[in-house]
Parts: sequence; structure tokens; C-alpha cells
Amino acid sequence: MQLDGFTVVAQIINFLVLVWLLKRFLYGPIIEAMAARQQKVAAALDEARQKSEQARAEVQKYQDQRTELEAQREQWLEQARQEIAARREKWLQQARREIDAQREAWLKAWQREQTENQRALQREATHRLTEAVRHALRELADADLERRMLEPLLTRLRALEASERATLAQAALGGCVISTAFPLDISLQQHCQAALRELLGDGISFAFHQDSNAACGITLEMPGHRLAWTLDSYLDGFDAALARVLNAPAADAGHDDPLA
Amino acid sequence: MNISPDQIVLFESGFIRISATLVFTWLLMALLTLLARWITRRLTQDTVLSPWQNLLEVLVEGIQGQIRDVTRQNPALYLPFIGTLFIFIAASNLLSVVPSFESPTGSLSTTTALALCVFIAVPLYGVQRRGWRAYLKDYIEPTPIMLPLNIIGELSRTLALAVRLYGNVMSGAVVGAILLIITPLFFPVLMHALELLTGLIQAYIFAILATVYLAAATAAHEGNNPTEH
Repeated sequence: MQLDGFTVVAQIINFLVLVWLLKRFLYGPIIEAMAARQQKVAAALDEARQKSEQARAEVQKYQDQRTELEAQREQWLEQARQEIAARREKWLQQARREIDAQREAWLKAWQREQTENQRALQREATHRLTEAVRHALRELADADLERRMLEPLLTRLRALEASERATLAQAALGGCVISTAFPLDISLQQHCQAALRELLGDGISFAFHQDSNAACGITLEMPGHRLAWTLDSYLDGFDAALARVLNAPAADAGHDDPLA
Repeated sequence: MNISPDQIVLFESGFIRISATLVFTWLLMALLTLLARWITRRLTQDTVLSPWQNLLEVLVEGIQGQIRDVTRQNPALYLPFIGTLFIFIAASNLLSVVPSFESPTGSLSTTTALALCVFIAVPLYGVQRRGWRAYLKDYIEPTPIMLPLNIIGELSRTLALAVRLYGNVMSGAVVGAILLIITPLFFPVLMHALELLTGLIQAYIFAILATVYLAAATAAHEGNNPTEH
């Protein structure tokens, strides 16, 4: 075991040189490469973290958008529902109005038709009844009946106001035509003339006329005036009264709703 | 039989004495430098590494980790010194199994030189980090009476570093040679395999002790003294 001073010094120098060499060729490049890789990995991790954050933000953004879209969809659906309900209500009201209008029009038409039918029926019934009565009276009528009819005519003349009677008397001066359905005998003609002169005054010229087509009764015709008592007038009055009676139920029935 | 490669003198002129220790040291230096240069010339910064680059990175990262664990400081400042100590000693010890290779660490001059480097590096790092006053104050702690003992401690640990390494490597070589004479077949092979392990352990011990000394010198005084192995 010996210690050589020169070798010791030389080994110290060798060691220091080796320190420098390894620092130059080993530690420096290796640490530099490791640091660069570490930086690269850190950068990659940082980038991955940023991308992850970005992806998370994107996910959050899409979730928010989805939530917003769902809310908007619900809002649109609600609006659509309300609009549909409003339109439905509007259309229903419109349909009801149209149905009511059509029903009203149909009802009026039905009532009009019913009224027309009733009137036609009434006219026909009245006409037939009148014709039947008229036919029966015509068959029953004779000169004697005409004589009896003279009395009501005279009674009506007597019942006239004095002024009316004066007007008739004035008109009778122009001539008075007495029309009957059957020929009057002389006595009845005289009786008639006497009664009329008594009521209307003297100076009246009478003329008797027979009209077989006329109804049973007596008619006085003066210029501008006509006074009659005939069964036709009664039948006309009967016809009007029957029509009124028949029309009354029809008018009352018109208030009922046939569709109800 | 030569116990130390210092005894093999290849050239001598005056006080210049080129022994096998120096020659193998230069060879080792050249080998390590070329190997480092060859590997680091094709360094890549990708995540896919070549096996050699991976080996060097594991080595350097391991040394940095050990320095960081011991000193609790940034290992960049100590890495060239401590790392070179470990690599030089480890490579020298490992190559001792190569026939005809005389390990430089089997020379007391080499181990003394390395121990002197540590002896000089400790106050340099300590003064650089803490200043003259704080560093020298450690020698009179806890009382000035401890000054001679602290100085003796510094010298003795340097001596211990040198002799421990020399003794282990030299003894391994001597025991191997003796066993080769006694049982020339299998047993020397096992002893050489054991020498590989012993050489690595010695390199580790030398480097870690140097780190402990540096840590003690550079760390703020907390009343803790490094313990020797």
C-alpha cells in the first residue's frame, strides 16, 4: 500500500477533467432532453387539459342549447295548443253560427211553406165550403126568398145616417136599378118601389133587372153607389171569418219549433 | 502479484511517473466520454426512446433522485460532481472483471485523489452556498472546544473514504487472485460476480457519503451531523 503524490495529483486532474467531459457530453444533453420531453409532455398535458376544458365547455354549451331548445319546444307546443284551442273554439262558434243561421233559414222556410200550405188549404177549404153553401142556397133560393131578402135591405137603408141617406137619395135621382137573381112579381116590385120612395123620396125612376148568375139577394145600383143584400155577401163574410179562424191556429203554431 | 496498479510503471521521467493506474484511468475516461458522446448524439425528445438513452436517463434520473433525497436541494448543482464520482467508481469496479484490466480504484492514489476531491468540494460548496462565516461557524459548534475534533473528523472521514474504497477493491482483486490459485475453476467466477455487486455497492456508498458531506456543509445548521457508514 503506497501513495504516489504524482499519481494523486494526476488523478485529481483526471477526475476534474472527467467531471467536465461528462457534464459536457452526458449530463447536459441528457438533462436537456429530459427537460424538453418533460416540457413537451407538460405542454401535451396542458393542451389535453385545455381540450378537455374546451370539450367540457362545448358539452355544457350543447346541454344549455338543448335545454333552451327543449324549453322553446315546450313554449312552441304550448302556443300551438293554445292556438289550436282558440281556432277550434272559433271554428266551433262559426259552425254554430252557420248551423243556427241555416236552422233559422230552414225554420223560416219551413214556416213559410207551412203557412203557404195552410193558406192554400184554408183557401181551398173555404172555397169548397162556400161553393157548397152557395150551391145549396142557390138550389133553395126562389122568389119568395127574394121577397124576404127585401126587408133586410130596407132595414139597412133605414139604419143609415140621414146624411148618407140624403146622398143616396140624391144619387137615386139619376136612376135606380134593382137587380135580383129571380124575377120579382109585380106586387113585390110595387112594394119595393113604395118602400124605396118612402125612404129616398119621390122622383126616382126604377128599373128591375134579373141576373140568374148572381147570388140570391137584392142589389140597388145608383150612379156612384151600390147597396145590396145578397147571400153572396154573407158567404163572402163567412169566407173571411172562416179564413181568420183557420189562420189563427196556424199563426199560433208558427211559434213552435218543429226541430225542437 | 501486484496489489496495486500503481506498482506497474509504464513510463518514468523525473517526478513524472506514468503507472497503469493513470493509463487505465485515461482509458476509462475515454471510454465513458465516447460512450456518452455516442449515445447523446442521437438523443430524442420523443416519448419513444432508444435503450441506451433510456439507460442513461434512468441513471441520471436515479442519481438526481438520490441527491434530492439526501440534500433536500436542487440536484442540478451537485449532479456533475456526485454523478461523476459514482459513474467513475462504478465503471472502474465493473470493468475489473475484464481480464488484464487493472481497476484504477484499486489504487490508493486514485481513492485518495477522489477523497481529496470530496474534501475540497465540501468547503467549496458550503462556502458558495452559505458564505465563509456561516460555514466556518460549524467548526466551533456547539463549543469552540470542538474545533480540533471537527477538523480531525473532516480529515478522518476523508481518510476513511479513501481507504474504504481502496481496501474493498484491492481486497476483491487479491481474494480473486488467491482463489484463482487455490480453486481455479468455478469459485473465482462466483467471486467475480460478487465483486460486481460489491463494486456497485462501494460506488454507491462513496457517492452517497460524498452527498451527505455536501448536504451537511450546504444545509442550514440544524444540529444534525451526517453519520458515517
